[in-house]
Amino acid sequence: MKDAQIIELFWQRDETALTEVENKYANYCFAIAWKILMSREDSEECVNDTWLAAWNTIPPKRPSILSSFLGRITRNLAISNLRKKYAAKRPDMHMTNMDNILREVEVLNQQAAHSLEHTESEEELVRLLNGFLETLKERDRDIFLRRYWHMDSMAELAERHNLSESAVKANLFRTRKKLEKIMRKEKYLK
Amino acid sequence: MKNDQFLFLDILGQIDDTFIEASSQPWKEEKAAIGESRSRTPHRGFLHIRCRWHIAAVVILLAAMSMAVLANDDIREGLLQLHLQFFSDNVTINSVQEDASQQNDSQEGETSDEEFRAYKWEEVPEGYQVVYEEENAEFGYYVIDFENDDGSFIHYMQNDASLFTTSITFDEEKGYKRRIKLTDELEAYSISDGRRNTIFYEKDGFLFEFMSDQPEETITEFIFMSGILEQGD
Repeated sequence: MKDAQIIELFWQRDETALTEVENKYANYCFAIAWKILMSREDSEECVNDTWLAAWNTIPPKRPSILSSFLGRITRNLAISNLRKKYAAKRPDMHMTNMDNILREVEVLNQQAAHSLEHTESEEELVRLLNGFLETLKERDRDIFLRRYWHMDSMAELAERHNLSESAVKANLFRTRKKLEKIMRKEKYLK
Repeated sequence: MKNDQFLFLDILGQIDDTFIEASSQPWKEEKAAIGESRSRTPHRGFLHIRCRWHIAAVVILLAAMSMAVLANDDIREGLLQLHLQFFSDNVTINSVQEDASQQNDSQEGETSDEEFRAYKWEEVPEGYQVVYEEENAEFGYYVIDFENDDGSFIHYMQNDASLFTTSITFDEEKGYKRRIKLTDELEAYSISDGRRNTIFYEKDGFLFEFMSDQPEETITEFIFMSGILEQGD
């Protein structure tokens, strides 16, 4: 079924919409949750919560890209779940990839926190990020988003782009530095 | 307010749908225009010599040949092996060809028979400006110099390793010489005469030199930021 038809089912409050998104996007959403949580049970719970959240937000929303809309919900739920695990100091032992990602974005976290504390709103930061992503070369953008949106491992990224892991690391380092520079220029950081 | 280690990831989660959709698709490799554009040119079997004031550290091997060699070292990362000779005040570098059969089989890495392609910086380091840039495909080199308002400099040079022999100033007492790992696979040499610090390595048949008055850690950061390491992969 086409996305537009599925969205229409949501708007009509037809519960077959849930079956349709399950059939079409369960694997996609599960993969997103899995990379963050690395737990089958938690990931499945996240995916089920995604359908519920979609049910509660469509209407009034009418997503332009259903896959992105659902993926975003899953990712937010998974990060929220992970945040609780970290807060309770019980992240799973096999979460080395997420640990590495969190280390990599430490400076960006500090910059974002600083700007939110002082002057800027989250919406403005998102706008800045969108503008920044527009300026990146297609490959650099893909590597950046696959790493920090989809939480791909270095090995997965290396395979996807036919690069060495070192080249991927260097690429990410450079992109992060560019973003840090832009954030400083935009006075998001003193 | 959310202010934790997930903050940036949270904000990134709100980017435009189009970015999410595009990155969710299988990656389609762009045409490797660089690789396809390489064409054969006549072999250039001679050394090329050039000088600039702040690459005074670069001199022709011949000038140093008469000096006593204190130590030798070889470093092999790419298809060419770099042969290093340590003198009292400089290190000379030249490439050592592999055995003949390997040379004949090799299609990549040796650049002397191929069109030169400059590995250029993808951005100017913050606070610096370009003060000199030169590319010479015929003789197989590319050089760019940056300076900032404080007079700090960065000198970057890429040479066809099979053609070029260089010497880098070195001071045993005031400086240092050591091997460092730039990446998991790429080893480099870090050399200092106490005032100028140089990191160099060989990759894809080219000799890359990054020289600056900045410390080794900063030069390493410049190398990563330049995007040079990713080029040619």
